[in-house]
Amino acid sequence: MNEMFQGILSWDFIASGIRVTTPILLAALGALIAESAGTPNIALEGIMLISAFIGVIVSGFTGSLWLAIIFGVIVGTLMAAILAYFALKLKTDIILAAIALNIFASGGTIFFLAMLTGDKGSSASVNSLLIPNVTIPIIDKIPILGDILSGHHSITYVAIVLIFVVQYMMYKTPLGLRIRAVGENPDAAESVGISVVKTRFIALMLSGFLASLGGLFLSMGYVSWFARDMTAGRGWIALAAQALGGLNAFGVAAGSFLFGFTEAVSYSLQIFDIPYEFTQSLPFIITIIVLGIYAWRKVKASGKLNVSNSSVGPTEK
Amino acid sequence: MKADKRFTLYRIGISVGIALLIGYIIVFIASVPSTDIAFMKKMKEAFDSANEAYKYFLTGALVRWRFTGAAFNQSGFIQWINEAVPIIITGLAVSMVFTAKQFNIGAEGQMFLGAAVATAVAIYFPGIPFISTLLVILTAMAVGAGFASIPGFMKAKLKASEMVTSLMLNYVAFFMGLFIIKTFLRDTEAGSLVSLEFQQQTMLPLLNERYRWHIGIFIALGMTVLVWFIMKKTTWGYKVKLIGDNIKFAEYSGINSSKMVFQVQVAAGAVAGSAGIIELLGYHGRFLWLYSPGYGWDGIIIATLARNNPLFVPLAALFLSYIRVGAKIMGRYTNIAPEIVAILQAVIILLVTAEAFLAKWKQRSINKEATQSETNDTPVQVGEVR
Amino acid sequence: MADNCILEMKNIWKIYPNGVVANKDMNLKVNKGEIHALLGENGAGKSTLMKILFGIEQPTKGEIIYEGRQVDISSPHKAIEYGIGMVHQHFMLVPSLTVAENIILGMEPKKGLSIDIDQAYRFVQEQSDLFGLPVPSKEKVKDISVGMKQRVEIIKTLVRGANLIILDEPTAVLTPQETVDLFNALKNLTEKGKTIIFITHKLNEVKEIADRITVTRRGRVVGTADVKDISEIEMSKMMVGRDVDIRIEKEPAQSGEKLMEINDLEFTRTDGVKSLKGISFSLREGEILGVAGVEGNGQTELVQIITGIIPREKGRIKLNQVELPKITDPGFCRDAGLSHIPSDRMERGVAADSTIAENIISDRFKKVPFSKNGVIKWKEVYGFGEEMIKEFDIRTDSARTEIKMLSGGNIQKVVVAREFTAHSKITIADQPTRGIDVAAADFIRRRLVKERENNLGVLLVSADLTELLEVADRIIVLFKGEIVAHFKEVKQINETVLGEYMLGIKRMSSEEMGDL
Ligand SMILES: Nc1ncnc2c1ncn2[C@@H]1O[C@H](COP(=O)(O)OP(=O)(O)O)[C@@H](O)[C@H]1O
Ligand SMILES: [Mg+2]
Repeated sequence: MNEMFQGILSWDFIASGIRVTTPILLAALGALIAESAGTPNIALEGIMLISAFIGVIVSGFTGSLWLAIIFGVIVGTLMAAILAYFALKLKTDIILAAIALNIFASGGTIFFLAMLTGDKGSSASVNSLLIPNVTIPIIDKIPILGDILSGHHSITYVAIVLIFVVQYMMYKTPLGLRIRAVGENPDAAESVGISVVKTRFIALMLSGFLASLGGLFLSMGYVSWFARDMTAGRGWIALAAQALGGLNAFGVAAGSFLFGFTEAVSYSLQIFDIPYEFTQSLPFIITIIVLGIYAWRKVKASGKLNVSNSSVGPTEK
Repeated sequence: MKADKRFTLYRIGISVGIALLIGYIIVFIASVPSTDIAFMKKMKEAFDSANEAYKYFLTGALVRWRFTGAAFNQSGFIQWINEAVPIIITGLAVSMVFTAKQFNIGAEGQMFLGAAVATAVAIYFPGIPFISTLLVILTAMAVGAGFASIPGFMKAKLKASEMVTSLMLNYVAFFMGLFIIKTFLRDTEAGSLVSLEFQQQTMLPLLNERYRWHIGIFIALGMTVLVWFIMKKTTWGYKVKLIGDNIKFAEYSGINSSKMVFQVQVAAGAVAGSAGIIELLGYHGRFLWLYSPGYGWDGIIIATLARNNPLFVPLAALFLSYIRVGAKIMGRYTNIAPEIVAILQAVIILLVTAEAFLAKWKQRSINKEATQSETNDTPVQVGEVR
Repeated sequence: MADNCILEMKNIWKIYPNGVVANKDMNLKVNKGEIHALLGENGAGKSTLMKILFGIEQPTKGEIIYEGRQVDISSPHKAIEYGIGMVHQHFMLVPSLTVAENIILGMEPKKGLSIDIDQAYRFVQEQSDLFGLPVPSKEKVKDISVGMKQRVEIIKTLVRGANLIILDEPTAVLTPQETVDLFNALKNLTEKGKTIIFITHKLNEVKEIADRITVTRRGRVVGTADVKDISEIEMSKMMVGRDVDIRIEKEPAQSGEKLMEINDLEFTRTDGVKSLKGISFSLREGEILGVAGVEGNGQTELVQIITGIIPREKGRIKLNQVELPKITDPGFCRDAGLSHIPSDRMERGVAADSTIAENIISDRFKKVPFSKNGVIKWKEVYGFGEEMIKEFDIRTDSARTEIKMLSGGNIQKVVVAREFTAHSKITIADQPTRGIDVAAADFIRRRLVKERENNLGVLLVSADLTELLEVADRIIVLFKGEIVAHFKEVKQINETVLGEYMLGIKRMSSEEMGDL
């Protein structure tokens, strides 16, 4: 028991928590933007996976880190654009469309991996690159603080900055105002000449962009290869983190850290004699429990009775 | 209005066509030889081998190509039917929850965990034909139902999104299933992680020994009829449809929506729970999945293609398993990985559910219908009473 | 006169995806600087025509000439560019944003990358001064009154440079007093050179404010005229296509036993506003009790509590001598003998993708003859559906038609068919004739009166004061969650009197109200 606490409380553990949180946080910020626009993006899982794949393949075949990043981001954003096109233009149910994209990502990455490398399990044979870590001078030298704050992956820093950027964008800029307006009352937005389709398109593409950064982090930072279905549910956990944090970037970040640290705990537990299957399921179980408690408190607070929201809110419908 | 149904059919047909075309283009690109030869020659070679690959893909499940000509491919045919079995069942399960507009996509986990737990019964319960088989299947169904009750409860009582919770549970089910097999049921003599063998008598009867054609298809079709009856002919099915169509209306009419939301998820969980074990009982004779086989996800595709109508589920499943088997056979003769099917599936779902796809065409025929009836509409007269 | 014409819509056809032909070869000509009333029954196609003008819907056929040019208005954005603005029948505001944010949405003043919010407030202030329409720019839209919301909508169009402003039934949600304010504002705007298209089906308003009218009926234009040349009687003939004599004859009320008793009912909304503050009244056999009030003064909550949709906070309810438990559900209330015509039929009254018959049996499918041992007898169900189609004059070809294929009036008849054949002693009718054609509305009102004559009780909540005065035997007025007036003799009052109580200008003492 003592050992365990030592494991959990070590500074390494915090650093590892931050690392594990990064992809969840990025995808969750994406989920926040999409949700604000009234078009939940549940293709985050697939978008991350595709970007992770593209990053590895492009860097492996071209040897260029920048090309890998650029293509990873473009393809991820493009996936979101496809989702937007089908949901907004062709009126496909956005959830089914996203499920289709997730299926595409899961099978498609394996297909192309096999086509390009002859291996269906992982990209071990590809000599792919890593996006470097960043050492912050001076802080780096301070004990403890240096361990926690410095030496992280560059995308981790980007993710932290993006918390503030997303919050600023959503609540201070015209684009954010429009996204929120479109999400809350699309007809109202349309009536003042804002194109609902265009605004939602942008929101979904931004969410795809953020998720693709998360994907790149997975295959070019967290580990240095691509493996089939390597996102392993992080896109879904990100949705849960968003549900917890609401439409506030700081809340969403808090939710992401909660789940990230749970995952980190599950890793530290692996040194003990606990079967690996249990530690692996832990983040998911915790997510379900937290979601349950959160939902329960919300239900209690509003005193609603039925499954549909038959509550009487403010008079405006 | 007939236009609606007709256009749904067109849309499905055209979607499948487009998907196959995209598949062809990918196969074509994959077939371009990397050798250093003239461009036109390259194209020609790619064209030839892509055609060859597609021949296997589209016909492989039924036709065995020999130098002497074509023959019926018995093994392919049986594989086609066998592979349709689990996905008919998950398709039925998903069509039930989707009818209620409950996006419980936990069929995958319910199926996996159901199979893993029922494996214990299949190994240790004495093999009595029919009885032990039934017991195994019922165990799997109970596990599926129990597992589905978690998101069901959380939605009904707490209003937590069943989609997110059921998804999380898929991972939990996967790890738990593996854990059970690994720790309690593992065949230590086997090279890989598989369970002990099932009791011989517990296995499903076979129609063909050589290629192991089992009676699962009849079980699946029987379940289809049963689900169809429940959904279309009973008051329970009516309630499920009503909460899916407009849940506030259902509540207003006096239906306990929370109860129905819970029940439909549990019932679908029971159906889904049996999908995996039936295949193991019929074909493999032991638990051998290291990856979740994806039948739950296939169920979503099938339910979508079948428009949630149980009677169409077997058709959609047979279609899917046909192109799957074709893809596998193609993979055997060429270097095209069978996962290409995932790409086709994605395209098909996207287009089939695209309400506005072909909408212009449809609107034109509606306009025609409406303007025609318009000419018969006698203008209202002053003084006319209702 | 011709060069004075600002807008001409020619031969407009509109066929909706569900096959409804809303506009059949419609023509409309509007002159600069006039108030042009577009008159017609509910469902005549007025809103559709205006949505086409504002770019929300695309015409199936036809052309639009605006300021002498043929224009293609593919989106509201385009319409705004041309100088066309629209105030919709249902407000197009974002409730959680402030008034100023709603107004500047889409044309935000910027400072760097951010919205310059101070500039926004200044701008809104300036503009509202300019047009004489003061608004509370820092308040959230969800917290302001209906009349104020409408003002915000008008400013929204003005700040976007609208020269032609469309108002779709602007007075439907206003009290008589607020209507006066609105009309003053509109006259003021035409003096500033703006042109106004004013949709309504209230004839007195047309007489009061419009210069010219265009009358529509069943998707067609019946005619255009100068208001001064035409009488109200003539207008209504054009509008309805027959002599209007829809006065409902009824005997004086013979009220009997108490059917429903409401005692000290309280409710607090999720946003903390106390919307019912101790309401008590009862409903007797053989009477129609009307509930008047500006929307949002507690009517919704009252109805939803009585019908078991939301739980009450405090108070007691007795239906047919049955005490409602605190946690209840609509099924319980139905079993206790309650029918409910909900205010929003599409939200709660029907399942749009289900058939007419399926909708009609939703409250009785468990009973004989519709099912036995849990198996539905579809033959009986559809047989009954066909009967209802005949009895309630639902215009369709079969009981297998899906609800979404029907027009609003016919959908409401499906709701009414179910609720009036449930053999309940009490009917709660919440806005039962909103947004449906005159014939269907008349039909429903007559059925309500018939219920009463069969010694049943009806609680009628309506924003249509004319309807209340015509149908109800007694009227209570709700204001901010309290009953502020009770009229035992409906014959002796008029809309203006009701309006004063609805706005809270006057209120009765409990002695004046007497026995509720
Ligand atoms: N979006 C829509 N889809 C299908 N039918 C519609 C739609 N909007 C209106 N309708 C139908 O078109 C007809 C005209 O409606 P509308 O233009 O709203 O009439 P009005 O404003 O004169 O009351 C009605 O029968 C209505 O049911
Ligand atoms: Mg209208």
